[in-house]
Amino acid sequence: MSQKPPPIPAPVNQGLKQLRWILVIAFLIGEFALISVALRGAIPPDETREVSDYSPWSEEVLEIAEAIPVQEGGRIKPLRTYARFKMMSFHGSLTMKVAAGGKVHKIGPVAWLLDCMFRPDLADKLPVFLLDDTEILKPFGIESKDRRARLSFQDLKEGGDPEENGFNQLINRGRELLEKQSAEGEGSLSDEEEEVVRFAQLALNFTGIRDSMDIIRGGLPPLDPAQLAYVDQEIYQNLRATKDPKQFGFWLPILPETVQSTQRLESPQAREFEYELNRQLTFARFGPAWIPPQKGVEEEWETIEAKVTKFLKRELTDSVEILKDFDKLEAISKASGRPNSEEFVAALKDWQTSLADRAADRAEGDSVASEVSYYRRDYFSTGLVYFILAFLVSAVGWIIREGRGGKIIAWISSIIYGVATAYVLAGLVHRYLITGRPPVSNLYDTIPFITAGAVVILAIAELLTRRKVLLSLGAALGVIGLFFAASFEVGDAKDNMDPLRAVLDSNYWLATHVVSITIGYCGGLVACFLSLAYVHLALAGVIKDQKSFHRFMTRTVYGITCFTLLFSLVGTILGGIWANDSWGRFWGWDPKENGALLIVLWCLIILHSRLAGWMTGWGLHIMSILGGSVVVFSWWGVNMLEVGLHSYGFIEGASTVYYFYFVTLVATGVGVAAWLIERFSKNARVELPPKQRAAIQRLEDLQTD
Amino acid sequence: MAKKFKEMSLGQRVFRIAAGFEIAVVCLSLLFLLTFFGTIEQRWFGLWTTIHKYFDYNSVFVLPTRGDGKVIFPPLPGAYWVIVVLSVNMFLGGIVRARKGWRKAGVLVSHFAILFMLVAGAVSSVYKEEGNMRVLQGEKSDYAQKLFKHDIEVFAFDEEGDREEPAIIRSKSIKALGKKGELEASFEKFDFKLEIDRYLPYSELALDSPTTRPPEGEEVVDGFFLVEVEKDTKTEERNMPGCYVSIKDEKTDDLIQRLVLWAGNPYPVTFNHDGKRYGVTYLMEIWPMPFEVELYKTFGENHPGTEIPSWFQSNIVKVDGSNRTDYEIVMNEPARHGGYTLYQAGFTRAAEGETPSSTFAVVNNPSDKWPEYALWASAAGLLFHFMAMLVRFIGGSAKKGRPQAPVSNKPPIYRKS
Repeated sequence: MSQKPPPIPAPVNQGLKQLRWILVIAFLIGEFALISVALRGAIPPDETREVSDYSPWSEEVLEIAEAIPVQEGGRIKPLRTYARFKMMSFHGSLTMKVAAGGKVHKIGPVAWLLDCMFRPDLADKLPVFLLDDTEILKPFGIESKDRRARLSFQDLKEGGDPEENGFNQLINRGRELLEKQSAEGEGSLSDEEEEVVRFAQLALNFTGIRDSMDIIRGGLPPLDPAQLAYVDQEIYQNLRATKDPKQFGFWLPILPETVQSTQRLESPQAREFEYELNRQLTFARFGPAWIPPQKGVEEEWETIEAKVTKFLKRELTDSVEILKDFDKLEAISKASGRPNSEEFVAALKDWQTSLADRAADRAEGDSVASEVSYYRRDYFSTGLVYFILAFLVSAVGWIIREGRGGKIIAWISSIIYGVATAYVLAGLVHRYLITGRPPVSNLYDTIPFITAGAVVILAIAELLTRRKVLLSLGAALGVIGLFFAASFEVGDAKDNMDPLRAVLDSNYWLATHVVSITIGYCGGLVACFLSLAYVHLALAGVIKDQKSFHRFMTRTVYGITCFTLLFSLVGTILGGIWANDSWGRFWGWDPKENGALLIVLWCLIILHSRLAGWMTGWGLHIMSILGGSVVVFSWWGVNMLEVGLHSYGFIEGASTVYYFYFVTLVATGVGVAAWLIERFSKNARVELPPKQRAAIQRLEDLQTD
Repeated sequence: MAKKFKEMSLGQRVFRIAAGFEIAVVCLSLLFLLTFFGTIEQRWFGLWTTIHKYFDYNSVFVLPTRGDGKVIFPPLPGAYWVIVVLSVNMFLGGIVRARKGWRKAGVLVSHFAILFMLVAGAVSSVYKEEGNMRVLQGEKSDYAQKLFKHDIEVFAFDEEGDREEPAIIRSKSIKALGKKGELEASFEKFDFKLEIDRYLPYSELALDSPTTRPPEGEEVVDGFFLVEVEKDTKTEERNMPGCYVSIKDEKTDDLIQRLVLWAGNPYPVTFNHDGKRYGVTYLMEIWPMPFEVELYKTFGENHPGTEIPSWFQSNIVKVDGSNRTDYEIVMNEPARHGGYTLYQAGFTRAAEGETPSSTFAVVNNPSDKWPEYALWASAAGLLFHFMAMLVRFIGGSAKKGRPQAPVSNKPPIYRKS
């Protein structure tokens, strides 16, 4: 029967224990301060706006509307996607809360877009604009009680003075500033002035979307038919019998002749008609490109404005199709007075079916339904919830480690972790099926990909080592990664499924070079995160078998560093070969290439330093933490330099990256402090005779092996 | 058993140091810093300038600076020389000195592959030639132009107005002048000579007009003058040199014509001498090809509703003597032939009545495919090595369950109170 070795008594040194905790608390305060400042911009203000006359769209209406195909960003996509990124760009979130009749309604992107297009008066009252600093609007008489707030278009209009409302003042100021910038060059505007320009542009874009359907809603001023010299009076009278002359659909069949006639007239009526027609057409330009191309004449889907302009120029051979389209749109508009009525649902369904059928005829929009389902399933948000749950359960497992209870908790947390991982992987696969390319083709794509890679690596490492530690860390990484993905997507407000430019459109290179590099990023970040967790635990002195845990973590981090080197090196060389095939040179010291090289060099420094005997376990952990910054610089930092041939990846304002650098610096301090304390503890040992020391060493080894 | 350092001969000591991990770590660290600063400086100074500052063989030391010129780090040795030292160290330490055997086979192969790749880089930097070739659809071209080298060509026009074989003054000689140097060039085929007396490496050509007057003392030739401008550090190809030249009689030294040449002017500047018409151009160096390229068709598309190109393609015929070979060049798929590689660098869609064209980047690089071979070798080597490490790691973890030896009951650790 084997004898269980006696436990090694923990060092009893009250002063040291206190110092450890003081340091841990001080460092944690520093780190959380940095993280909370970084997150401040990522969490939008939660606000419910009272809009007493608001009535929500029915689920049926939303389901029909979200599947309407539109062309944007070089592809046919569902209206849901179109609305999603439009709403993000204004609202900084995908939900708007309004209170009406004692109830709180959550308005999503499709509902909001329908409001803009068919209920503009209500859309004006919705808190659509997210503004970080409402102080910039004070000069225009637009007040807000909070510095960071959401404003409605009505808030802008109600500002200003009796002579000019706040919105107009804002637009005029924005125009002046743009003229100043154009005269004095880039950098001539202050930060505040640039924010005014940006916000004025945003407000103008909103009016564009809101008024894009004015032309369908109608409201053209009357014209005396007798004065319309080029219009066939018989046709006019036939139209008069079936349609309202206020409606655009009335004028459309005779529009070229009507415009030709009004151009020769000098009556105020004619000028007013022309002005209103031009205004409505101008705003129609801001609506979705959802009129399919005419067979044999056109190749692309068009906005209402582009289609009418072509019709006016007589570039379309088949006028019946466009007239039918306008009839359908007018039917929707007419029925929108009773938003969830059968009439409205039928008109909307008719439009959606017509577009879907015509898209199918052209072999377009195959993935519209799949994309709707992708966003409905919301894989990454669901995965985030499961990772939070997995982390909480595994945290309970830290307390109840032993016995049956410990086993059950470990199983539960593993299952939840598995479900969360499955959600992330399913999301990536679904993105791949929609776009037809590996899900690593832009910065957003790489975030869930790296998160998936990290949680899978840690799950495999846990399976191999069974320490019940790595799964908790993996869950924490899953939470961080998916939260970051969500906040980046909202801040970026760009549809990342849009097609790629020719140079990037190569599945072979995306699947080899970009995937290798991204897996390399993943390895570097996992190693950094493990070391980060380790140094904090070590400084706090909360680990029972410190030496064994130290060795385990060091070996794991070392292994992952090797993994990082392998993928980063292969990815970097593959990138060189791709560059050689695209641009005719293998290596050009371009920032993106250099970023990848920096990771390779960092890993090589670590591995060779250990071989040289210059780096112990603590050195490895500290280097690994700093290596996280190197990875983030390569992943994000070089894109912020806005120089080089990889211009498609340039980003602005991703200041969160800087906070990450600071956090790793602070965490490096944690590592150094933990290392110094350990050295201090060792030096405190009483000198023992060699034989006794050897025996103790042997005992320690047996305990920890 | 390995000798201790103190017991080694001088040669052995030198070898031990040169092949040591210590030098590898120092070189890798220096290269890391150089790459880092060489990356962030590009924000202020652009790619071209920064590359030359950090990675050229003539940069022995570099001083990292910010955009305003403020030094941000102590001087570092030039990256080129750090790579040379690292290569020597890798050869001696990673191949010659390294233990040979199955356990180290992966590392050996990887070191060898990386060295091979560095050699490929060295071969490329010495022997690689590159230029751009623009061809109109339906036409042929047998030359490319080198973007950063500008030659002066002097030629006579024949009776039909076509150019005769030119005499060339190479960009290297012109660049060597600096702002104050002068150059006199005589030609066997002409009885006149050309003297360059003012060379401006970065300039613009201006027309003397009421709105643009030349600076005081600036020479105006035929109503034109050169304006010295700041170097465009971000886009090297925007930098256009210019110079003033005198055409003089070879025997009498009499001035025949004063000319102003500017590299941005695509047309020849002409003069008459002894009843014959001559032209002078200052253009990108002509790089003759040993074959002709005929552009059969160029076409491309944008993604619908955008200006983003979805693909573009050139169908060409390469005419090499009597051999005619068809190629399709698309993005990421160049045409390789006889050591030359042609890449699709751009295409222009023609407006109505105009002819579309393609621009090809032409590269002649003897080590073109070497990095690819190195990639497979290094990947295989590292994979082999790390997999072996992983197996040992898993084996080590599995030992946890082994029965442990009996131990003393004495408390093992004593600490000062």
